[in-house]
Amino acid sequence: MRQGIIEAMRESSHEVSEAGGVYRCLSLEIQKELASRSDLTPREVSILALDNGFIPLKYLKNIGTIGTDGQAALLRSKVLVVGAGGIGGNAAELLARMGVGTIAIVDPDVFEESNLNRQDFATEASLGLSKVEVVSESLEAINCDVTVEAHMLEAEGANLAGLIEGAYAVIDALDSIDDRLLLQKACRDGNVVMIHGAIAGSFIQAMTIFPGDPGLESLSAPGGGKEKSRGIETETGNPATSPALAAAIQVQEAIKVITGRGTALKRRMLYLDLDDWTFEFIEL
Amino acid sequence: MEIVVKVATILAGKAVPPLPSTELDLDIADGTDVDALIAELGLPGVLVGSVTVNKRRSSRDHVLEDGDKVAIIPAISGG
Repeated sequence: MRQGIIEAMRESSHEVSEAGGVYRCLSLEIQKELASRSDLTPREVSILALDNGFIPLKYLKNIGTIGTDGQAALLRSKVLVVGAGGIGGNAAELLARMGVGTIAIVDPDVFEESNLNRQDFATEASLGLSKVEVVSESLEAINCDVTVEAHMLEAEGANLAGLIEGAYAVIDALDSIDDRLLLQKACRDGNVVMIHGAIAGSFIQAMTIFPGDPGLESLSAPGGGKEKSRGIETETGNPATSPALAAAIQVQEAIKVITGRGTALKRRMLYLDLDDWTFEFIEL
Repeated sequence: MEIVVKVATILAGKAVPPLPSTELDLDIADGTDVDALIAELGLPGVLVGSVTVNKRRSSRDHVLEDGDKVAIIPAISGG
């Protein structure tokens, strides 16, 4: 059966020049047709294609940076995104476009008007709707290879272990220090990489916490801004740009963890001031 | 003694009185520690997250020396 599908790919594919190479590419239409007349899901068709030297056209522009092996690795992986707000929604979209095969997303909230300035998939039409359900539908519309596990609940001690299970990486898209420390503990207990990110106004920080490494507890405990467990963002607000950039940094880190490419922010926190383009690193 | 201080833009905006710039050349008294510097700059201590001195993370009671480069990073938790 597989050999028959591979033969069909050979016959239906077409050559495309990209990133210094020539590749045999499969269109979305062919992919879906091969899935419908076999026992394979669209994602499995994409993986089979990549394993046999074909590239689904939807991933053509990824190949120059992550290779066909990296693309197949992303499709085989699962990433958990904790929070579907400014960082989380943006991160989920980037993961889907990069072709991460399974994306689990957790958030108890519905979209409200003050989310419109920065939260991906917050639209005038989605106000009042569950964030994770809207994100889930939107991701599946972007990429049929992606399975979304939507959890409309508060991530907390009792449920985190179950949510984290099977994840190759966890993206921290939370909005309080206490919640982040809980997530960090759960990731350590589950032996999973936690990709931390936080924003306040024009400022971003990010770090990738591998199991066994020092993490957020190693840095000065903040006094808490206006509310306990929050920082200066209670006074600065958050524009559209900072969460989008934080999400991109965190998703790039997830890609590094899954594909084994690049140098992650291991034991180093990146701080980035978008107002004057200065940056700092703290080595842990 | 003279030090150079970089304050994150959003933090500088919270100083009382406002700081003239996010990068400052300062003349400070011998024996000034990081905590005292934060107070001298008029920054609300609760909004400061981490401080580095010469690119290394430092404690609040770290005593500064002539020529030090200090970076004051805000406490942030938004998402």
